[in-house]
Amino acid sequence: MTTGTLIPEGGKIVVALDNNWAITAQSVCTVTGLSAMANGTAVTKSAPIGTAINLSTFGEVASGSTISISCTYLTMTSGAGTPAMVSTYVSYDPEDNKINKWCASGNTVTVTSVVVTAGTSSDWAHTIAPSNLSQTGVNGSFKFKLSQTIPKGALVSIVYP
Amino acid sequence: MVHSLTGDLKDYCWSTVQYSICTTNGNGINLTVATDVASGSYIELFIDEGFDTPANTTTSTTGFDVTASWGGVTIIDDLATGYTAASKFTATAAISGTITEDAITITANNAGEASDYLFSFKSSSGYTVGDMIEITFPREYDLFVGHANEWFTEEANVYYMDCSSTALGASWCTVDKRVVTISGSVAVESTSAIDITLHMVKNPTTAASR
Repeated sequence: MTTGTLIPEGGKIVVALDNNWAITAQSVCTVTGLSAMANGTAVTKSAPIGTAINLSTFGEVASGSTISISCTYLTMTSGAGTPAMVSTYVSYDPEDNKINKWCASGNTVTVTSVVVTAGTSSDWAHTIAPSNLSQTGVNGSFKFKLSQTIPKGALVSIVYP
Repeated sequence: MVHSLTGDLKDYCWSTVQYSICTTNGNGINLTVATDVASGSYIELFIDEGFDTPANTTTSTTGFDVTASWGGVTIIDDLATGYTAASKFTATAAISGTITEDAITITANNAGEASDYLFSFKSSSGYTVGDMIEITFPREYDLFVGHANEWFTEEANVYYMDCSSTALGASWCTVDKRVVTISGSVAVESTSAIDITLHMVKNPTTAASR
Protein backbone atom coordinates (compact mmCIF):
# COMPACT_ATOMS: atom_id res chain seq x y z
CA MET A 1 0.00 0.00 0.00
CA THR A 2 1.09 3.55 -0.60
CA THR A 3 0.54 6.19 2.03
CA GLY A 4 -1.56 9.13 0.90
CA THR A 5 -0.99 11.55 3.75
CA LEU A 6 2.03 11.64 6.06
CA ILE A 7 1.59 9.52 9.19
CA PRO A 8 3.30 11.19 12.15
CA GLU A 9 5.49 9.32 14.57
CA GLY A 10 3.40 7.53 17.19
CA GLY A 11 0.54 6.86 14.82
CA LYS A 12 -0.82 3.45 14.02
CA ILE A 13 -2.03 1.41 11.10
CA VAL A 14 -4.79 -1.16 11.15
CA VAL A 15 -5.21 -3.55 8.25
CA ALA A 16 -8.41 -5.57 8.37
CA LEU A 17 -8.66 -8.70 6.29
CA ASP A 18 -11.84 -9.57 4.52
CA ASN A 19 -14.10 -11.90 6.48
CA ASN A 20 -13.19 -14.69 4.07
CA TRP A 21 -9.65 -14.70 5.38
CA ALA A 22 -8.12 -15.21 8.82
CA ILE A 23 -4.77 -15.05 10.54
CA THR A 24 -3.95 -18.37 12.19
CA ALA A 25 -1.81 -19.44 15.11
CA GLN A 26 0.90 -20.37 12.63
CA SER A 27 0.87 -17.02 10.83
CA VAL A 28 3.97 -14.89 10.90
CA CYS A 29 3.63 -11.38 9.48
CA THR A 30 6.53 -9.26 8.35
CA VAL A 31 6.38 -5.58 7.53
CA THR A 32 8.62 -3.44 5.38
CA GLY A 33 8.47 0.32 4.88
CA LEU A 34 8.26 1.28 8.54
CA SER A 35 11.13 2.41 10.74
CA ALA A 36 11.69 2.59 14.48
CA MET A 37 10.77 5.70 16.41
CA ALA A 38 13.35 8.42 16.94
CA ASN A 39 13.91 7.25 20.52
CA GLY A 40 14.78 3.77 19.26
CA THR A 41 11.47 2.10 20.08
CA ALA A 42 10.95 -0.67 17.57
CA VAL A 43 7.87 -1.08 15.43
CA THR A 44 5.15 -2.96 17.29
CA LYS A 45 3.37 -5.55 15.22
CA SER A 46 0.34 -7.45 16.39
CA ALA A 47 -1.39 -10.07 14.30
CA PRO A 48 -3.49 -12.21 16.63
CA ILE A 49 -5.71 -15.01 15.38
CA GLY A 50 -8.50 -13.26 13.55
CA THR A 51 -8.66 -10.68 10.82
CA ALA A 52 -6.69 -7.61 11.95
CA ILE A 53 -3.05 -6.66 11.70
CA ASN A 54 -2.06 -3.76 13.96
CA LEU A 55 1.08 -1.69 13.56
CA SER A 56 2.21 1.01 15.99
CA THR A 57 5.25 2.74 17.55
CA PHE A 58 6.85 3.51 14.21
CA GLY A 59 8.62 6.60 13.00
CA GLU A 60 7.13 9.21 10.72
CA VAL A 61 5.92 7.80 7.41
CA ALA A 62 6.18 10.24 4.53
CA SER A 63 3.41 10.71 2.01
CA GLY A 64 3.89 8.39 -0.93
CA SER A 65 5.76 5.79 1.11
CA THR A 66 5.20 2.14 0.33
CA ILE A 67 4.36 -0.21 3.19
CA SER A 68 4.27 -3.94 2.58
CA ILE A 69 2.84 -6.59 4.85
CA SER A 70 3.46 -10.25 4.23
CA CYS A 71 1.77 -12.98 6.28
CA THR A 72 2.22 -16.73 6.15
CA TYR A 73 -0.32 -19.47 6.88
CA LEU A 74 -3.43 -17.40 6.31
CA THR A 75 -6.58 -19.40 5.89
CA MET A 76 -9.56 -18.72 3.70
CA THR A 77 -12.44 -19.60 5.96
CA SER A 78 -15.20 -19.31 3.39
CA GLY A 79 -15.83 -18.28 -0.15
CA ALA A 80 -14.28 -19.60 -3.31
CA GLY A 81 -12.61 -18.34 -6.43
CA THR A 82 -10.90 -15.01 -5.88
CA PRO A 83 -12.40 -13.34 -2.80
CA ALA A 84 -11.04 -10.01 -1.68
CA MET A 85 -8.25 -10.36 0.83
CA VAL A 86 -8.04 -6.93 2.47
CA SER A 87 -11.16 -5.20 3.69
CA THR A 88 -9.80 -1.90 4.96
CA TYR A 89 -6.54 -0.19 5.64
CA VAL A 90 -6.68 2.72 8.06
CA SER A 91 -3.89 4.83 9.48
CA TYR A 92 -4.25 7.03 12.54
CA ASP A 93 -2.28 9.84 14.12
CA PRO A 94 -1.17 9.60 17.77
CA GLU A 95 -4.54 11.03 18.87
CA ASP A 96 -6.39 8.24 17.06
CA ASN A 97 -7.66 10.51 14.32
CA LYS A 98 -7.96 8.77 10.96
CA ILE A 99 -5.47 9.93 8.37
CA ASN A 100 -5.71 7.51 5.47
CA LYS A 101 -8.38 5.00 4.69
CA TRP A 102 -8.52 2.45 1.91
CA CYS A 103 -11.45 0.16 1.26
CA ALA A 104 -11.59 -2.98 -0.80
CA SER A 105 -14.57 -1.71 -2.77
CA GLY A 106 -13.32 -0.90 -6.24
CA ASN A 107 -9.76 -1.77 -5.24
CA THR A 108 -10.00 -5.47 -4.72
CA VAL A 109 -6.92 -7.39 -3.73
CA THR A 110 -7.60 -10.92 -4.84
CA VAL A 111 -5.93 -14.25 -4.37
CA THR A 112 -6.92 -17.33 -6.28
CA SER A 113 -8.04 -20.01 -3.88
CA VAL A 114 -7.04 -23.65 -4.18
CA VAL A 115 -9.55 -26.36 -3.44
CA VAL A 116 -7.95 -29.15 -1.43
CA THR A 117 -9.16 -32.64 -2.16
CA ALA A 118 -8.56 -34.88 0.81
CA GLY A 119 -5.92 -37.52 0.18
CA THR A 120 -5.07 -40.71 2.03
CA SER A 121 -2.12 -42.29 3.76
CA SER A 122 -0.31 -45.20 2.14
CA ASP A 123 2.74 -47.46 2.39
CA TRP A 124 1.88 -48.42 5.95
CA ALA A 125 4.29 -50.23 8.19
CA HIS A 126 4.18 -50.79 11.91
CA THR A 127 5.95 -52.60 14.68
CA ILE A 128 4.51 -53.58 18.05
CA ALA A 129 7.01 -55.12 20.41
CA PRO A 130 6.29 -57.49 21.94
CA SER A 131 3.33 -58.30 19.75
CA ASN A 132 2.10 -61.26 21.80
CA LEU A 133 -1.52 -61.19 22.88
CA SER A 134 -2.60 -59.60 26.17
CA GLN A 135 0.48 -57.44 26.58
CA THR A 136 0.16 -54.06 28.30
CA GLY A 137 2.20 -50.92 27.77
CA VAL A 138 4.27 -52.18 24.88
CA ASN A 139 6.30 -50.03 22.52
CA GLY A 140 5.29 -49.48 18.96
CA SER A 141 6.01 -47.52 15.84
CA PHE A 142 4.19 -46.79 12.65
CA LYS A 143 5.12 -45.20 9.40
CA PHE A 144 3.02 -43.93 6.53
CA LYS A 145 3.25 -41.80 3.43
CA LEU A 146 1.27 -38.65 2.75
CA SER A 147 -0.51 -37.99 -0.52
CA GLN A 148 -1.05 -34.31 0.30
CA THR A 149 1.18 -31.66 1.79
CA ILE A 150 0.15 -30.83 5.34
CA PRO A 151 1.13 -27.42 6.66
CA LYS A 152 2.71 -26.47 9.93
CA GLY A 153 0.06 -26.58 12.66
CA ALA A 154 -1.96 -29.34 11.02
CA LEU A 155 -3.58 -31.85 13.35
CA VAL A 156 -2.78 -35.43 12.42
CA SER A 157 -4.99 -38.03 14.09
CA ILE A 158 -4.15 -41.70 14.01
CA VAL A 159 -6.70 -44.24 15.19
CA TYR A 160 -5.49 -47.72 15.97
CA PRO A 161 -7.17 -50.86 14.59
CA MET B 1 -5.49 -52.68 20.17
CA VAL B 2 -6.00 -49.92 22.69
CA HIS B 3 -3.97 -47.08 24.05
CA SER B 4 -2.49 -47.59 27.48
CA LEU B 5 -1.50 -43.96 28.04
CA THR B 6 -3.57 -40.88 28.71
CA GLY B 7 -3.19 -37.15 28.18
CA ASP B 8 0.02 -35.51 27.10
CA LEU B 9 2.42 -37.98 25.45
CA LYS B 10 5.37 -35.64 25.02
CA ASP B 11 7.63 -37.96 27.02
CA TYR B 12 6.44 -41.05 25.15
CA CYS B 13 6.15 -39.84 21.59
CA TRP B 14 8.87 -39.48 19.00
CA SER B 15 8.43 -38.55 15.38
CA THR B 16 10.54 -38.08 12.31
CA VAL B 17 8.55 -34.89 11.84
CA GLN B 18 8.93 -32.08 14.34
CA TYR B 19 5.75 -31.75 16.38
CA SER B 20 4.41 -29.32 18.97
CA ILE B 21 1.77 -31.49 20.66
CA CYS B 22 1.30 -35.24 20.97
CA THR B 23 -1.71 -36.42 22.95
CA THR B 24 -4.04 -39.38 23.10
CA ASN B 25 -7.40 -39.33 21.39
CA GLY B 26 -8.86 -42.34 23.14
CA ASN B 27 -7.95 -45.05 20.71
CA GLY B 28 -5.01 -43.43 19.03
CA ILE B 29 -2.99 -40.25 19.07
CA ASN B 30 -3.21 -36.65 17.91
CA LEU B 31 -0.09 -35.04 16.60
CA THR B 32 0.20 -31.34 15.79
CA VAL B 33 3.05 -30.94 13.34
CA ALA B 34 5.39 -27.99 13.79
CA THR B 35 6.61 -27.89 10.23
CA ASP B 36 5.25 -28.35 6.74
CA VAL B 37 5.27 -31.99 5.63
CA ALA B 38 5.44 -32.36 1.87
CA SER B 39 3.27 -34.63 -0.19
CA GLY B 40 5.02 -37.93 -0.84
CA SER B 41 7.05 -37.79 2.35
CA TYR B 42 6.71 -40.14 5.30
CA ILE B 43 5.77 -39.63 8.91
CA GLU B 44 7.15 -42.15 11.33
CA LEU B 45 6.02 -42.25 14.94
CA PHE B 46 7.40 -44.14 17.90
CA ILE B 47 5.20 -44.54 20.96
CA ASP B 48 6.81 -45.73 24.16
CA GLU B 49 4.65 -47.97 26.39
CA GLY B 50 1.65 -46.91 24.39
CA PHE B 51 -0.13 -50.08 23.36
CA ASP B 52 -2.18 -52.85 24.94
CA THR B 53 -2.50 -55.80 22.60
CA PRO B 54 -5.77 -57.71 22.23
CA ALA B 55 -6.47 -61.00 24.01
CA ASN B 56 -6.64 -63.05 20.82
CA THR B 57 -4.70 -63.60 17.63
CA THR B 58 -7.48 -62.56 15.28
CA THR B 59 -6.38 -60.08 12.65
CA SER B 60 -8.07 -56.73 13.16
CA THR B 61 -10.88 -55.97 10.74
CA THR B 62 -9.72 -52.39 10.40
CA GLY B 63 -6.30 -50.86 10.01
CA PHE B 64 -4.66 -47.68 11.19
CA ASP B 65 -6.73 -44.68 10.13
CA VAL B 66 -5.19 -41.29 9.48
CA THR B 67 -6.87 -37.93 9.21
CA ALA B 68 -5.12 -34.60 8.91
CA SER B 69 -6.71 -31.18 8.95
CA TRP B 70 -5.63 -27.59 9.08
CA GLY B 71 -7.81 -24.56 9.68
CA GLY B 72 -10.90 -26.71 9.44
CA VAL B 73 -9.88 -28.10 6.06
CA THR B 74 -9.50 -31.88 5.83
CA ILE B 75 -6.30 -32.75 3.98
CA ILE B 76 -5.90 -36.46 4.66
CA ASP B 77 -8.88 -38.69 5.32
CA ASP B 78 -8.34 -42.43 5.04
CA LEU B 79 -11.24 -44.39 3.70
CA ALA B 80 -12.79 -46.80 6.18
CA THR B 81 -12.31 -49.62 3.71
CA GLY B 82 -9.53 -51.30 1.81
CA TYR B 83 -7.05 -51.56 4.64
CA THR B 84 -3.77 -53.16 3.66
CA ALA B 85 -2.36 -56.05 5.63
CA ALA B 86 0.47 -53.77 6.74
CA SER B 87 -2.08 -51.45 8.28
CA LYS B 88 -3.86 -54.18 10.23
CA PHE B 89 -2.63 -55.79 13.41
CA THR B 90 -2.45 -59.42 14.43
CA ALA B 91 -1.26 -60.37 17.88
CA THR B 92 1.02 -63.37 18.09
CA ALA B 93 0.60 -66.28 20.47
CA ALA B 94 0.85 -65.82 24.19
CA ILE B 95 4.24 -65.82 25.80
CA SER B 96 4.72 -69.33 27.15
CA GLY B 97 8.23 -69.17 28.51
CA THR B 98 9.38 -67.89 31.88
CA ILE B 99 12.42 -66.21 33.30
CA THR B 100 13.72 -67.51 36.61
CA GLU B 101 16.63 -66.92 38.93
CA ASP B 102 16.97 -63.41 37.57
CA ALA B 103 19.39 -61.02 39.21
CA ILE B 104 21.10 -57.71 38.48
CA THR B 105 24.53 -56.73 39.74
CA ILE B 106 25.59 -53.10 39.37
CA THR B 107 29.26 -52.47 40.00
CA ALA B 108 28.74 -48.84 41.01
CA ASN B 109 25.29 -47.72 41.99
CA ASN B 110 26.02 -44.09 42.80
CA ALA B 111 23.60 -41.67 41.17
CA GLY B 112 24.86 -40.48 37.81
CA GLU B 113 27.78 -42.90 37.77
CA ALA B 114 28.59 -45.01 34.72
CA SER B 115 28.64 -48.66 35.68
CA ASP B 116 28.64 -52.20 34.36
CA TYR B 117 25.27 -53.93 34.70
CA LEU B 118 25.35 -57.72 34.97
CA PHE B 119 22.04 -59.44 34.23
CA SER B 120 21.76 -63.14 34.92
CA PHE B 121 18.74 -65.41 34.50
CA LYS B 122 17.49 -68.73 33.25
CA SER B 123 15.05 -68.98 30.37
CA SER B 124 12.60 -71.90 30.28
CA SER B 125 13.17 -72.09 26.53
CA GLY B 126 16.93 -71.65 26.71
CA TYR B 127 18.67 -69.61 24.03
CA THR B 128 19.00 -70.55 20.37
CA VAL B 129 21.42 -68.69 18.13
CA GLY B 130 19.33 -66.21 16.20
CA ASP B 131 17.09 -65.40 19.17
CA MET B 132 17.02 -61.84 20.45
CA ILE B 133 16.99 -60.96 24.13
CA GLU B 134 15.53 -57.58 25.03
CA ILE B 135 16.19 -55.65 28.22
CA THR B 136 14.05 -52.56 28.73
CA PHE B 137 15.43 -49.93 31.08
CA PRO B 138 13.21 -47.75 33.29
CA ARG B 139 12.34 -44.28 32.04
CA GLU B 140 14.87 -42.64 34.37
CA TYR B 141 17.71 -43.93 32.19
CA ASP B 142 19.12 -42.28 29.09
CA LEU B 143 17.28 -43.03 25.87
CA PHE B 144 20.46 -44.56 24.46
CA VAL B 145 22.00 -46.25 27.46
CA GLY B 146 25.63 -47.27 27.61
CA HIS B 147 27.27 -44.67 25.36
CA ALA B 148 25.51 -46.24 22.41
CA ASN B 149 26.53 -44.95 19.03
CA GLU B 150 26.63 -45.90 15.37
CA TRP B 151 29.49 -48.33 14.95
CA PHE B 152 29.12 -49.04 11.26
CA THR B 153 28.60 -46.56 8.47
CA GLU B 154 26.71 -49.27 6.60
CA GLU B 155 24.14 -49.41 9.38
CA ALA B 156 22.69 -45.95 9.71
CA ASN B 157 20.56 -45.34 12.79
CA VAL B 158 21.65 -48.62 14.41
CA TYR B 159 23.21 -47.86 17.78
CA TYR B 160 25.54 -50.37 19.40
CA MET B 161 26.74 -50.47 22.96
CA ASP B 162 29.59 -52.39 24.53
CA CYS B 163 28.45 -55.67 26.09
CA SER B 164 29.73 -59.16 26.86
CA SER B 165 28.47 -62.58 27.89
CA THR B 166 30.19 -65.76 29.00
CA ALA B 167 27.23 -67.98 28.23
CA LEU B 168 26.27 -66.42 24.89
CA GLY B 169 29.82 -66.08 23.59
CA ALA B 170 30.51 -63.22 21.20
CA SER B 171 27.51 -60.94 21.53
CA TRP B 172 26.12 -57.82 19.91
CA CYS B 173 24.00 -55.30 21.74
CA THR B 174 21.96 -52.61 20.01
CA VAL B 175 20.05 -49.84 21.75
CA ASP B 176 16.87 -48.07 20.75
CA LYS B 177 14.97 -45.88 23.19
CA ARG B 178 15.99 -47.63 26.42
CA VAL B 179 15.56 -51.08 24.90
CA VAL B 180 18.78 -53.09 24.61
CA THR B 181 18.61 -56.01 22.19
CA ILE B 182 21.21 -58.73 22.64
CA SER B 183 22.11 -61.43 20.17
CA GLY B 184 24.61 -64.10 21.09
CA SER B 185 26.57 -66.69 19.15
CA VAL B 186 26.33 -69.72 21.44
CA ALA B 187 23.20 -71.71 22.36
CA VAL B 188 22.32 -72.04 26.03
CA GLU B 189 20.29 -74.86 27.56
CA SER B 190 17.30 -73.97 29.66
CA THR B 191 19.04 -75.43 32.70
CA SER B 192 21.99 -73.09 32.36
CA ALA B 193 22.14 -69.46 33.40
CA ILE B 194 22.55 -66.70 30.84
CA ASP B 195 24.74 -63.78 31.83
CA ILE B 196 24.84 -60.46 30.03
CA THR B 197 27.02 -57.55 31.05
CA LEU B 198 26.17 -54.15 29.66
CA HIS B 199 29.10 -51.80 29.99
CA MET B 200 29.14 -48.13 30.90
CA VAL B 201 25.46 -47.71 31.66
CA LYS B 202 24.89 -44.32 33.22
CA ASN B 203 22.88 -44.57 36.43
CA PRO B 204 19.92 -42.21 36.92
CA THR B 205 20.95 -38.85 38.34
CA THR B 206 18.83 -39.14 41.47
CA ALA B 207 19.17 -41.78 44.14
CA ALA B 208 15.93 -43.77 44.20
CA SER B 209 14.79 -47.32 43.63
CA ARG B 210 13.73 -48.05 40.03
